[in-house]
Amino acid sequence: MKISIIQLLVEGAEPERNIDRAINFINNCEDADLVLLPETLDFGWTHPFAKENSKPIPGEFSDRFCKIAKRKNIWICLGLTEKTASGNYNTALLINREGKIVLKHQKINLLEVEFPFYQIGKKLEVVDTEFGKIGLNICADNYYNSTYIGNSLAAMGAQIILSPSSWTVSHEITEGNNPYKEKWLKPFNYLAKNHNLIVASTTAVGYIIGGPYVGKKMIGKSLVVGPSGIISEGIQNEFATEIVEVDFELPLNSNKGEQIGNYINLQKWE
Amino acid sequence: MGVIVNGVETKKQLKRCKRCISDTSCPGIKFDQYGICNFCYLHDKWAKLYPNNLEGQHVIDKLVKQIKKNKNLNNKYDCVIGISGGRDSSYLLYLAVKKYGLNPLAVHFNDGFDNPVAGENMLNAIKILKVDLRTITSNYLESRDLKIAFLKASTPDLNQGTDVGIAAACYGVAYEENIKTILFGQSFRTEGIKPVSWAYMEGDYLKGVHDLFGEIKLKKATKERPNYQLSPYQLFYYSVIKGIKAFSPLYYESYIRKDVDSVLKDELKWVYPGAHYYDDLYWSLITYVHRKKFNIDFRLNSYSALIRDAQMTREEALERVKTKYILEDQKIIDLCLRRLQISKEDFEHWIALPPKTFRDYPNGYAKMKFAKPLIWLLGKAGFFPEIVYDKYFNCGY
Repeated sequence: MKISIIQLLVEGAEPERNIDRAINFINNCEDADLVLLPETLDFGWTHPFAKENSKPIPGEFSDRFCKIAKRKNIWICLGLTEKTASGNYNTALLINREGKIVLKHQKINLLEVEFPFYQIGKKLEVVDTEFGKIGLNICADNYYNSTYIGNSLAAMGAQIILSPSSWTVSHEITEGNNPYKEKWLKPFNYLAKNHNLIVASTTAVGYIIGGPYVGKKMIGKSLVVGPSGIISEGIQNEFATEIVEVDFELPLNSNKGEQIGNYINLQKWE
Repeated sequence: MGVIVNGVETKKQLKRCKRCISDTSCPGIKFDQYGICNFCYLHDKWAKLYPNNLEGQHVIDKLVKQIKKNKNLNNKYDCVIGISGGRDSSYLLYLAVKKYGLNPLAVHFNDGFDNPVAGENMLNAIKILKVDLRTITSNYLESRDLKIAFLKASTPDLNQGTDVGIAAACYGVAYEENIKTILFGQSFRTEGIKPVSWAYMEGDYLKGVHDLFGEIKLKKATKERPNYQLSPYQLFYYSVIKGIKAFSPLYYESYIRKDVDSVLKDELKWVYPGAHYYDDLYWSLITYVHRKKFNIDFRLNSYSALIRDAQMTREEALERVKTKYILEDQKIIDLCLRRLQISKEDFEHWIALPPKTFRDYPNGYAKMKFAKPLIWLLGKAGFFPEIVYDKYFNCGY
C-alpha cells in the first residue's frame, strides 16, 4: 500500500486557498494508492470562522475531494469541519477510487478548548477495502489516555488507522527540538505493537491565527508507526506543504474478540 | 491634466527626474540643473562604493576569507542569512553556498503573513542546498497588535514589526549561536532608494507607536530572542560589543533580475511569488494603503533602480506604473483583514486619518543623530554596510 502523506499548510479561515492547495498537491501524487491529509483542513483547527461557514458532508468542500479521487483513481482520507443540524463536527472522511465517501468519523476525544466549536462524535466504524480493513480517528483520539478509541478500532479488525491531525506546539519551538518526544509515538507504538497494525497520522503545518490556540503553530513531523516501530516521519517546518511517501504491506491484525483483552497488558506501557 | 501614478490620475503636477522615474511624491527629492534627482546621484555614489565588476569580486573574496577567519573554531556555521523565500534572500543563500563556499545558518522570521509560495521556495532551497534552518516565530498576538497599531498611527511604514522582527531574529540567532557574521539579501540596484520617512526602522520607534496604540504588552526580550525590541542601543550592543557584523554581498554582485530568476528556477525549483515584496502577503494591504492614503508607489523606487542599472528602460517603467500594481489584490487584502480580525469599517476609518510619519511619534532618531559620527565610523569599519549612514541621513526626509 503506497500512501502519500501530505503535511498541508493550513491557513486559518481560508477554506478556498487550503482546498485549492490540497487539490494541487493531490494532483502531484502520481503513484499513491491513498493520500492522507490533515484535520479540519478547510478552516483550520478551532478557527471561529468555521462556526458559521462550515459545509455539510457530502457538500461543496467534500465534493471537490470526491471528484479528484475519481479522476485520479485514488483513495483520499482528509479532515473537514462538518456542518449538521445539531452543530459542527470535526470529521474525517475516507473516499474511495470511485469518489464515494465510504467511511466518516466524527472526533470523539475533543479537547476542552474544542467544545465550543465541535460536537462529540457518536460512533466508531471500520471499512473493508482492497488493502484490508481501515479505521479512522482524529488527532487527540489517539492520546495515550484515550487509546480505548484505537483499541476499539483494532477490535473491529482495523489493520491500519488513518488519523488526520493538527498537532500544535508553542510558537517558541525552533528546529532541532522535537517537542513531541513520546507524546504521539507512545500511543502509536502501543496500538501498533499490541494489535499488529499500522497507525498513520499526518498533521497540518502553519501558524494558528484564530481561536483558543491562537499563536501556537503546527510544525509537521507526521508519523507512521507499525508493529516494528517508526516506518516514516515527516520533516519539521511550519510554512510549507511537504509530501512524505510511504510504501508498506498491511500487517494482519489477527487477534479477535476476547483474545484482544487477554493479549493487551496495559501495565507494561505505564 | 495631471499624471497617472499607480493607476490613479493625480491632479498634482509632479516633477519627475529626467533619468529615472522618481517624482515629487517622494519626500526630499531634489533636482539639479539637468533635472536629475538626488536619488540618482546617491545610487551612483553607492555603485562606486560597491562595484559589481571584477573589483567587487575581489572584495567578496576578501570578505569570505574574513568571514571564515572570524568564525569560531568550534562553530558549525560561518554566518547567518535571513531568508524569506523571495528572490533576493534566495539568491543570496544560493551564492553563499555555491559560490562563496560558506555554511550558513538560514534564519526565517515568521509573523503569520508568509506567502505560501515563498514558504515552498524556502523549503526547496534549504533541502537542495543542505542548509540548516532556524525559524523564529513571533507571538502572533504581538505581531497582530503591532500591525494594527501602525495602521492606527497612520504612518507609511506599516510593516515596522516585521522589518524590526527580521533584523532582531538574525541578530538574536547570531548571538545565540556565537556567529559573527550576518548576511542580508538586499540590493540597491534592484530595490531602489526610499526616503527615510517611508522606510524608517528601529526598535525605539516601534515601541513608541506600540505604547500609544497597542493593546497588549510586548513580551520581555532576551539577547537570544530580541523579538521586536531592537533599539539603536541594542544594535550597538550586538555590533560593537559582541562583534556581530552585517554585510550585503549582493551589492557587489551583478544582479540582473531576469538572470537571477532563471538560476533560482533551475537550481532551487524557485517560483516567483508574483511581485516584489510578495513573499509577505501583508504587502498587498500595504500597497493599497500606500496608494490610497499616501500616494506612494514603491515601483517608482524599484523601477528607478532598474533604470539606473540599465535593467529597464524609462519608457517601459513609465508605462508599467500607469496601472495599479498587481500586488494590490482585493482577495489578499480581505485575507489580511480576517487575519488581523479587524472590520473593513475600522480599516477604512484608519486609512482616512491624516497621514503621519515616524517624526510624529517617539523614536530613536535623536539618538542616531547624536551618534551620527559613530554610525559613519562603524560603517567605514565594516560593522554594517556604509550605506546605512546614507539611508538614515541622506535619503530625503
